[in-house]
Amino acid sequence: MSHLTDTVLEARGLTKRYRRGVLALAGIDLQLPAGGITALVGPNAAGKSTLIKTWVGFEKPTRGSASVMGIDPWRDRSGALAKVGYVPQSPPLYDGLSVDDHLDLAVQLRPGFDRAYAQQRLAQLDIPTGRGARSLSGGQQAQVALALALGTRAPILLLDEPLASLDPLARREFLHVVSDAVRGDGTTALLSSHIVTDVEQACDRLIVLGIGRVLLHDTVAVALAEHAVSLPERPDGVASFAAADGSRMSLVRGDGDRPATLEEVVLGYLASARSTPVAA
Amino acid sequence: MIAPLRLAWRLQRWEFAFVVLGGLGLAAVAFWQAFDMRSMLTGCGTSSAAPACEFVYPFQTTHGNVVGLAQTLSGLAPFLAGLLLGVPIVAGEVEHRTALLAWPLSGSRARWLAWRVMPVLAISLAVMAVLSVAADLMAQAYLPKSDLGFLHHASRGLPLVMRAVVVLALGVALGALMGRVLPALLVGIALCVGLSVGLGLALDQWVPSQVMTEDEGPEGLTGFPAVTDLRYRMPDGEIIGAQEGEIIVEQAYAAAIEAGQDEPDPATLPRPVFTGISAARHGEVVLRESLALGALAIGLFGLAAFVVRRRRPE
Repeated sequence: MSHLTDTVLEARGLTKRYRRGVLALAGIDLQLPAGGITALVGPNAAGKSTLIKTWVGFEKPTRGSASVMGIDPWRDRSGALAKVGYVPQSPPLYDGLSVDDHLDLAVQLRPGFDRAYAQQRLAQLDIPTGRGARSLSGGQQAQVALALALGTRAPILLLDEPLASLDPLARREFLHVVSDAVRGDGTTALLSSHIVTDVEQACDRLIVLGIGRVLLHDTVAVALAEHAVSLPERPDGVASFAAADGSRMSLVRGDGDRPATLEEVVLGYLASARSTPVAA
Repeated sequence: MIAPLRLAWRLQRWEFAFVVLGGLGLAAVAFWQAFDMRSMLTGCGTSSAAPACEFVYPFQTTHGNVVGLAQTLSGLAPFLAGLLLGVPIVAGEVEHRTALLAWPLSGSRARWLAWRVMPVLAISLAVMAVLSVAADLMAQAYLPKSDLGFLHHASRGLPLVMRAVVVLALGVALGALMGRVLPALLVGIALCVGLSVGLGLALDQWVPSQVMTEDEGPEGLTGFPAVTDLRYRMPDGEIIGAQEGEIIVEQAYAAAIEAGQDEPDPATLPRPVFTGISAARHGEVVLRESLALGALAIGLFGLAAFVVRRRRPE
């Protein structure tokens, strides 16, 4: 096994093409080190969910491989999932079950599920555990799904756009719980989102995914330090894109007119992907 | 076992309520009919018209209608229960996207499936076992001095329970394959009709049919055999087909009329006989059929596990 000893999630030449010919992932190479929160950012249909679902063992790679702490999730799904706590998009909680029932269900399904820990997380947020899970607000439902993932005590958290349907306050609370768990337990979290501003404060690393390719993978600090914005646009920049006021600007590596924000870094790389057709 | 049962109840409360209340309600009706019938027949036994009571009473009172309806519903119950409880186990989870939550939580999908199926199977078995006993008692009370044999074969006793198990497995497998509750239910209904007809036709696959003597025939009082065919026995003992026998009889009558006789000599005519399985061999058939259905159920559960292992959760 050639992966780095502290690599927890890995993709090698990972390609996923769906039956109707849609290319979701186009030969991704990625190594994610242990610890911290990594934001997986990209527009809709960039392949974020597909990448995460490949690590969860829901999707079989068309080519290449994926691994979770060295385990191929398609070949040894149980082994891989033992290392993963997963929060799906729009948490699909059970209609007829209360929050307590969900915790009971997790105890039944997952050997070693830490019910007390999950319950404590929910109590801190004043989420009523006796109520029907589907009667809770969207933010509370997301917190229940997160508590179920945290209760697994898995070393890796895979969070598939859990913020998408939440209001700003609920998003902040959710990220606070994730940060708390990661800092307190040494968990590694991968959080996919298309809302850059939300993840900027919480995340240590950034992966920008566009049309099935990794456009940027670095720490947030380095990404911010190495990029700047040029006004007006420059032909040697990473890419040009429209500012909020409609003027054109370029994202450049190195010196520019002013430091780039994280959103501008992401926008610049996404714009660069649009001008470069994907080859698979 | 309590927690899985409680959660299974909550996950499928409407289906459980329908099957448990419906099944036990039907069983209660069957028990009531059985005991009522016994009391009535016991009463008849003290009167001078006892033989008439035994055979006339049940048919001429409203009991006959209730018993008939209860027997029909008992025959349908294993199919209804199996499909209603089995189909949503996987299809419901896929349709409502809850498999996205449950499958990664469980790690092993086989463990998840077993966890979901076992309580449903236990409840289904318990309800169908009670119903099968009740339906058996009702049928026996209706004809107290007869060997019931193949009478209402599929709607009482072990065959009823085994049909419920195999249909439950079929429902789970269909739900896993199709991932949608309503289409899987519709296909399941069609397959159940096929299964029911097929099992009826396959009776003589478990033990071979044989020519039955008169006292084993359906008109006899010693039991209810499974009649599979009508044939003719020639005066020399040879068994021939029904069509061939009818032609010989017709020709014999035509020849007799031509010769000026009213009818041919009965000793020269082939006599109709039934082929089938005698009532005495019913237990043997039940055992073999149950083993086959058990093996089929295991195969279908295995298929469901295979599909669940490979399918997408949404």
